[in-house]
Amino acid sequence: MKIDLSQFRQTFLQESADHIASMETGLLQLRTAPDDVELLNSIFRSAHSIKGGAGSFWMKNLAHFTHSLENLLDRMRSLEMRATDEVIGILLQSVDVLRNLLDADPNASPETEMPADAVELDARIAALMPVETDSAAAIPEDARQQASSQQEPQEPAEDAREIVLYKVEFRPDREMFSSGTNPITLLRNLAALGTVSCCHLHTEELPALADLDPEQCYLSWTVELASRCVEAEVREVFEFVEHLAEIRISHSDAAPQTDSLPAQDSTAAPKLAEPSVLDG
Amino acid sequence: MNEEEGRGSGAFRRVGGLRKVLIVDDAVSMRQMVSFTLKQGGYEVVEAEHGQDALSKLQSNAVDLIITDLNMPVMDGITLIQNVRKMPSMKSKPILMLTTEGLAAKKEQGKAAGATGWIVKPFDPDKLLQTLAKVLP
Repeated sequence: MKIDLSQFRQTFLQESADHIASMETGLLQLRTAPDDVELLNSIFRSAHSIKGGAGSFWMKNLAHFTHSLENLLDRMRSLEMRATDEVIGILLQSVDVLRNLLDADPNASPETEMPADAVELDARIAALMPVETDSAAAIPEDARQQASSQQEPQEPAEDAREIVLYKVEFRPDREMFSSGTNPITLLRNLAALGTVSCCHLHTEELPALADLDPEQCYLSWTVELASRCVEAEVREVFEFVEHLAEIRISHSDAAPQTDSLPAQDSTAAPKLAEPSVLDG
Repeated sequence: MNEEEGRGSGAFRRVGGLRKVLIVDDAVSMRQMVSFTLKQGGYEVVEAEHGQDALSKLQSNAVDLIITDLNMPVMDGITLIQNVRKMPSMKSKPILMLTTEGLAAKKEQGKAAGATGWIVKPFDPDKLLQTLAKVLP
């Protein structure tokens, strides 16, 4: 299914025009109230909203410029930087640049270069800020996300890959449920990557019923999975729970050479599923 | 036509009901895009414009999952997540953060508050639906 979101562009343009107008009003108020955190927060949110939507409509220059603005405004709202007349002046000029970027030709190539006034102002904004923090990583990550969704996969086609026999040890923390994560859902997603030849449930930590807290997770699993997926894809199943579980993924080099996946056979899983392997 | 159908398509529910998702974002365009994507994917959608609005929508709507922006007026996303996790009916429901920050600090804050995962803006509609399928039981 390919879902087209371009019909929402007009709403975004109108909304952004409103944001730019309120940024301008806010900046003018800031002259007499440079430490008004709520005002700074509201100006920040306007830039943040524009940036969030700009990427969705391939308005790369607008996304890039609002990202710089957002970085500056983020420092200002945390009072790391003061709203001096110089800074407010630059931000007011940015409002004009934003208006121009928003009016950019919708049919122009996303690769169109940033206009000269935007480039110059972007450099002045960068010069205001001491060494960039890791927040600069946000744009490349966004760009990567977009790029990855547009490009053809670089990996060989799944059918062409060898079957790998993975051993996945999954030991959730007791608190896993508090994040709204269901370990069974994760196991289901893991199983969908190939054929599970062995799933060993470890119940050693399960207390007597009287001592059991139903909001805690006492179980852990060792799963043996035959799959054509690469290890990163297997690990991606646990993307959201890396901080909430101990996850070990290993694979045997002696993967089956035939095209058929191994049958459920205990001899195909030698020495796996020993509860002791989860210790430590 | 029986009485149920007579109420129109809006009142018609599939047996077992559609999965209901609450989308929280102060940007109308973002809410519309997420909402449109979810409806295409067969979900029922409830919208809220900030954390406080979301809490009040949750009083009258039982939802299966929440997608929330982090930077919002009135009540931000982190405070919303903290509040939702105190609600007995929402304690174990998945909550996804919808965020432009790729950096670890914001994600950590969300995770500490009880978020299940995240979706990076701008989002790819297909990836959004995949992520939902991945966290819904």
